[in-house]
Amino acid sequence: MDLSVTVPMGAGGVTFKNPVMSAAGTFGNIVEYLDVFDITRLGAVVANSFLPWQGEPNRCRRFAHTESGYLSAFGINNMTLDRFIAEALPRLPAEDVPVFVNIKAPTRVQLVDMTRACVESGRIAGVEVNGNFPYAGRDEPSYWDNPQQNEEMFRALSAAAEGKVLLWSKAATSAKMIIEDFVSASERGGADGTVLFNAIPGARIDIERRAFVCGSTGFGGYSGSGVKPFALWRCVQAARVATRPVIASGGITTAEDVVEFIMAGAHLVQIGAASMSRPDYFPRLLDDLYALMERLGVRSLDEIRGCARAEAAPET
Amino acid sequence: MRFLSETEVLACHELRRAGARRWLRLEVAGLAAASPGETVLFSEDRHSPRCRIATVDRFSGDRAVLVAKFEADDLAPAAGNGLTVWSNENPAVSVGAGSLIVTTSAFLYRVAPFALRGATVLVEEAGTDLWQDLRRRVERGLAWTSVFLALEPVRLQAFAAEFPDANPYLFANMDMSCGIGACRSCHVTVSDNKDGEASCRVGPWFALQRVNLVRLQFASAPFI
Repeated sequence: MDLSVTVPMGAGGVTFKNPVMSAAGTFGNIVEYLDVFDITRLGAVVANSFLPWQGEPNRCRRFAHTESGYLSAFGINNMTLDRFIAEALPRLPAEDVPVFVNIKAPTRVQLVDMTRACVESGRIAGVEVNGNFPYAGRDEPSYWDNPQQNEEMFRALSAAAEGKVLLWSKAATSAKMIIEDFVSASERGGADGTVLFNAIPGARIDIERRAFVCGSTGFGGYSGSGVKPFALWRCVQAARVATRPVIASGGITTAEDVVEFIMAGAHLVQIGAASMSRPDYFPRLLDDLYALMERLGVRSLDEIRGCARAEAAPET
Repeated sequence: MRFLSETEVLACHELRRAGARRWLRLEVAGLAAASPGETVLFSEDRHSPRCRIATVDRFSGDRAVLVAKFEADDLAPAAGNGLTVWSNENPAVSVGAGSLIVTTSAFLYRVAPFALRGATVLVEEAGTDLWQDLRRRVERGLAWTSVFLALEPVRLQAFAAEFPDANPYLFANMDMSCGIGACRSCHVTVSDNKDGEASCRVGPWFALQRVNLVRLQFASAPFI
């Protein structure tokens, strides 16, 4: 059985040994997991979001369990990208598992600089540009709400990537642009793929204290299995227009969920919320996934990618 | 982080309830090794939304009693359920003989087991002055090699004022989600590490003089 996925990059391609990736914001700086499980079993790993400056967690309750998932308001809790490259990256087995980083910045110039730094590191396989950030500084347009501006931004980032790192756009689930327009605009600009889902806004209220439970503004990002049906629908919409790989995310918890998203058209899947349910989540999921593929008689993901079809009775 | 055991819940009892929170006592079988006061992570199979942190209250043979805090919508493990248990004991901070733990009844469930390791546990009693009580005990010969405070922030500051040379550790029982130090929901801001430190990974004890108490106060329910 071969669960590998090869995606094009420049004149060549990058091969993932299976479609399962961690998701930004839930996997720390990756190094935290080195003594927890063998991370080279994953298709790829994604570190937390990086900004050009050192971040700091929110000064509030940053996590709350809620229906079918959780709310998080971790804040800008990153080290700088430069420090990640200098201190964490050398400790990672980048030869055995592709390492991705997720970047955020208020201006296009900063994003370009960060992309260049990733290329120069020589050990980063891909860059996700995070749309869940208000890219609308005083002098900057909002690249996530306007297809033309989004395309222009990715044109600049693509030039900086030089075909040496994969360049993915990561959609903000709450962005005004519909996902089909977002995928098409990013691809026209030169993005090598699109990550389809991010946490959605959410809140929870403690009725005894009459107070919001999580987040300095009372709100956080909701993630978890509750968003899966919407994320799956979004994956189908995106896959219909995409000419490059789509990377699904949103509520994926079980091996069966992974297969559903592949059947909806995804090349790869990212898993965040569920991975925090237990330290050995990923190795257990991969064991389940290989067993499930065996049971389904699937030898290659290419056999099932995008195979799901609607069934309805014919008109009589 | 160290995998300990797959265990089975034998019984689950509610110890205390405060608002939406419950403190549960879990009796489990199959725990390979643990010591009283040890912090462990546990997770139920599949339906567990996150791992939780617990204190080993008792350990004998392969039977153990764990005490843990649950939120209103956390499902309490039922008898017969499986629990996977990991250790996140931090050997850098050792609580045992010679240690003095000062606490209130609200925190007692987390620190009482340290008495089995030889620590002295001083609990504030209703209607008494904690510092007066402590001063009186010191006059009678109470001494310590290290002091651990499981108290609210205002009490922490009061202790530091009363005993400025004590260099105490504080207890940060943070709500957390991943148990690995990756999500940083239980992040503690400290003066000598600009990345901060994760309570789930290196806690729950932190040197008081390193911790930004104002930030901690507003973090993920650290003092309950």
